[in-house]
Amino acid sequence: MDDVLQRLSEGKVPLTDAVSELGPLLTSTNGPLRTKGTQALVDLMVQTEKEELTSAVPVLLQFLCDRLDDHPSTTPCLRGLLALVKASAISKEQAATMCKALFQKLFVQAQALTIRLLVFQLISELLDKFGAYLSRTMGEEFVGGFLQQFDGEKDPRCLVLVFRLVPFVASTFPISRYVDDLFEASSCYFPITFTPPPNDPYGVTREELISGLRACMTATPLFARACVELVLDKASSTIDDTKVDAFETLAECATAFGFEHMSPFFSSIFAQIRREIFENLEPQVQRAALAALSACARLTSTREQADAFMQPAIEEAVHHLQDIDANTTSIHGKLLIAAAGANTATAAVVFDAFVPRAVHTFIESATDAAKRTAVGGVLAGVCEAAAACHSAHPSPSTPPSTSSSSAMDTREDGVVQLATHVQAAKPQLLSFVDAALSSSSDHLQAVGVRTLLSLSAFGIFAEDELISLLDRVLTLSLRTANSLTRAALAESCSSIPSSNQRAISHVLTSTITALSSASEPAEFKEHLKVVEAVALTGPPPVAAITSLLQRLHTTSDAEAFRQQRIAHDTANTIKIIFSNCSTEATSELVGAVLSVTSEMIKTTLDQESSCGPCRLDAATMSTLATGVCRACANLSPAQQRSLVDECSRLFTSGSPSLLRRCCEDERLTPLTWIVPAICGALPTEVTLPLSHPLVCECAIGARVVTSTWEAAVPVCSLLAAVLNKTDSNKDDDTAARVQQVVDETVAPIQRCLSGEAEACSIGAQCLFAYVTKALVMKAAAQAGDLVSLLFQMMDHPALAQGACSAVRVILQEDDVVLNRSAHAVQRLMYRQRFFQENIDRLVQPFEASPNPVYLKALSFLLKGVPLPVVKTELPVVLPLLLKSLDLRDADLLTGTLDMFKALVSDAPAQLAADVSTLVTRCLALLTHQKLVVRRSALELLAALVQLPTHVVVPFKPEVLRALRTALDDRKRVVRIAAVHASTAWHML
Amino acid sequence: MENAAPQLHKQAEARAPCATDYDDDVVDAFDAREVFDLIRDINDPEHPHTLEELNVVQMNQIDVDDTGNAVRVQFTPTIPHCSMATLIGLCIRVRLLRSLPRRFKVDVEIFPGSHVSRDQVNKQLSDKERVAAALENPNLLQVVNQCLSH
Repeated sequence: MDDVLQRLSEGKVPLTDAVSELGPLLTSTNGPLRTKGTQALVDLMVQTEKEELTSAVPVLLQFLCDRLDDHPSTTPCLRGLLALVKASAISKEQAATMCKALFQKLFVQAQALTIRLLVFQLISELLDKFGAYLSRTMGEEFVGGFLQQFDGEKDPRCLVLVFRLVPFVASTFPISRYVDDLFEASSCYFPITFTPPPNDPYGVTREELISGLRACMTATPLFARACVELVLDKASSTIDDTKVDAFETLAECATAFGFEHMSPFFSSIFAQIRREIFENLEPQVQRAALAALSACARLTSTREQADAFMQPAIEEAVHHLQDIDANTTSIHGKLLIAAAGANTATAAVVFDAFVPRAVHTFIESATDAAKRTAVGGVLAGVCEAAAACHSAHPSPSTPPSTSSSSAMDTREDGVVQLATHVQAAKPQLLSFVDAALSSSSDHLQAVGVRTLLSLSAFGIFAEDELISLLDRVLTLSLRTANSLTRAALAESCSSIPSSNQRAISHVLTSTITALSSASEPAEFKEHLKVVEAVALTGPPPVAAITSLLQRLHTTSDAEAFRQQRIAHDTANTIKIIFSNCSTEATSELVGAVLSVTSEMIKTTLDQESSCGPCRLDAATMSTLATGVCRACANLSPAQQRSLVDECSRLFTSGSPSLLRRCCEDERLTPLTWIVPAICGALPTEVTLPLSHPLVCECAIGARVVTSTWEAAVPVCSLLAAVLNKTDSNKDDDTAARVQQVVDETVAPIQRCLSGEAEACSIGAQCLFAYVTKALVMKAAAQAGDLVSLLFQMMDHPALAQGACSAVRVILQEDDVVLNRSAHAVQRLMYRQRFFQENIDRLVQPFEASPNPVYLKALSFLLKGVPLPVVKTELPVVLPLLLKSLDLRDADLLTGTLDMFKALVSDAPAQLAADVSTLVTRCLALLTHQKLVVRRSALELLAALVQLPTHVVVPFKPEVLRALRTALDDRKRVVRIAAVHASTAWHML
Repeated sequence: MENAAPQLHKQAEARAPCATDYDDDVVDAFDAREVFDLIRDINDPEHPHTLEELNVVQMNQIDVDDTGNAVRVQFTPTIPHCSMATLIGLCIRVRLLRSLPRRFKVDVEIFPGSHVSRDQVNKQLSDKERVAAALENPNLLQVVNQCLSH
């Protein structure tokens, strides 16, 4: 026998001969032998060419189908049948035969998991290929058989398959006889409570099962009655997860079954949702219930339908308006808000039947503050929801699209109707807004602002009317200390229709004017939020950007810290405006930024004294540059070129050039950020040549910087960006040019290393760092030499600091120009490569001579790469990291402590061994003189509790004792960290 | 549940940063805001909200005397017959016990007129031995820890 199998497995026997040779095996009375024989036959079938297989199919099919009920052969038979279907070797008639045999001979639920899985795979394949034919010929017979096969299935893997098949069967086959059975057999799994076991190899998720089951239950409108009844029953469960699932399924039912099938249940659905809103406090359940209500409301399309749907809600809401408890009013209001936001028809009902009465109640109950707040909140919510619904549908004023169907017409009618209803309620609404705005409560004023702005979305105000109304809002929100109204203004001003340009620019100008009166940074920030929101609503806010920038430069009366925060917030706002404005507007805005910057440079240069107008710090300008750079990267080449030309004309003018003068003047270096922002983001094809005058000026400018590292960064980044994008293989000339730049960069460093020069300017070191980064990023040929030089610098006292910073620069993500969104050439995983190649260059020399510089560079190196990479080198690195904790250097200590903090969650096993050392060192650092170190040590201590409890618990008394002193630290930031640590350790 | 649908209040913004926050030479004194920040995140034993959202603790009801080493916190139960008042008070006390330096004498009390059995609860909360005994009870400690965890 083995001989036959051996020859078969070598593939030397044709299929027909093989069957006769396998004869004795296939007919053996010994079960395992029959299994072996059938398996061999199936293996052979899989290997056989399709042509040869086709001729043998009738016989094989008959054989395999006959053997299905022979228990030892079932699995190989199913594999064989599956192989036949997958190879498309069978005809549709044969498929039907196969189905019949499957349903008659096999009672699937009595079989093992593997067999069940195979059966469902087989059915799935059959339905994929012959679904329509099987539906026509077998019809109900198939449905009955299939139903019997999966009824009672328990395994999630099989269920995933079944849940895919049921919707297909329900929608393609005649199921009328089996509607109830089919629904029962699939819906009995609702709600799904499956949680995959840890390390599950099959990857079946709860979400997958839930969505599969939902598709089954909503597969056909025939299920509607049973499904909605079941879901409503489950929604009254006491388990919150079940409720959420039930309501989400209900929302899906609404979408799947349509108005006709859902309308009989509206009253019971409403009652259930209402109960949840009143009784359940879990926000998640409330959200799901309200979403279900919206989904049902969305089904109504005519006024009659909407009236009928909304009747119970409206009646009750009107009743609750008279209620003494203001709370019920606002809770019930949630239902109205959800309904108003769903559909224009239901929104119209709310405006008709509820809004006038609510306004009446609001005005009547002038003395009852709680009631006013509640009613006002509901009214504002209804207006906002309806406005959102109104603007989500195409406005009737826009020309109808070519494929305007009747559904579109109905929707447009709805939009028009809604606007009419709002218009009808306008007098009442305006009196409500007026009452709210003139009330003394901050909360009500904000409600008034929200209502007014959302009403503007319906286009019911004439422009002048709107502006005068807005004036009142602006006075209220910008000239008072009420931060709620400012927040409301920022949030809702996007509802002003963009056609109302005058109104928008009015709000913008007023807000910017009001900026100067904002005394506190927090207030200023709130104003900026308004500017940001308004600027993104209307046309390109060139004037706004210009005046924001000028403000950045001129306001200098406040104390430095406050000034810095204000400047930083402003820069952030400008960045956000840039990142959200349209491409057409960008070019104009960048032009404005450039002209304001040049203006600033000129005024500062004119002032001889060194304390000229307020100095913008580098952080602010680099934030601004990031925004500008992102925006420039997406401009058209022509626009980019014209901006670059303008920028280069400005900065290369004069002798010495303006750029160089800026680099020499400490006050102006931050302003040079504008150069890389505009010129550094060009795509590779159109980037500046290395010989461009601006690029040459950058190289010169970098070397003259002597003040700080940050001052040289802007010019260095531009040179690096251009170098990075220059392809040195293009021609000899370019190659020579690249080499020349590299040589010029390296020269001062080498002079210093060889002792020719005593020191090397900080600008030259920064340039070296950026040039190295540019080349390492794209793995250029020269990169290796530069990196070797970098590690030589570590031993030189004057260059060691620069070398450490260079490691940081190389591995850190550059926000402005040296990144992918600014089109920089970046080799995949260059950081990991740099780490792997150079880690030994730091570890080995340190072991020879323990110079702290290496530890510092190491901490930058580790910080720059993803944690999984660090973990691979942890055995080598860990002792060094622990050693770093003995030093007193604050930067090194905070870096190392942060690294440990990150490792606690990622490599707990390795850290657990050293936990005693870690705890002792951390506790010692609690008395460090720098607060940042004390804080980092406390943060690490708090993180350590994530390690296995038995490892850390022995240290609990010692740590808590030491933390008592830290809780009385002289700095508040440290105390906050101490509180966190103390809480964490107490909870152990 | 006694108060099924409590009124919620807006949360205060984070403490505004100040120029001297990171200046090692300036000493930051304890103030009411700092103590408020310690207790505002405590979860209510009944509702999925914090004490701040329910207006149980408010900044103007906290007195801190840094030099005199005294802290007094008054809190307002959501309803006058709230049976959780003692537990809330205990949570506040435990949080302050774990987060304030030992030099402070801490008083946790119910705001006058906001609870029917104010004196009784105040007495329980100020009795050190009863507080210590309560924390010996593992079930109670677990409830307190749940309220104190974020």
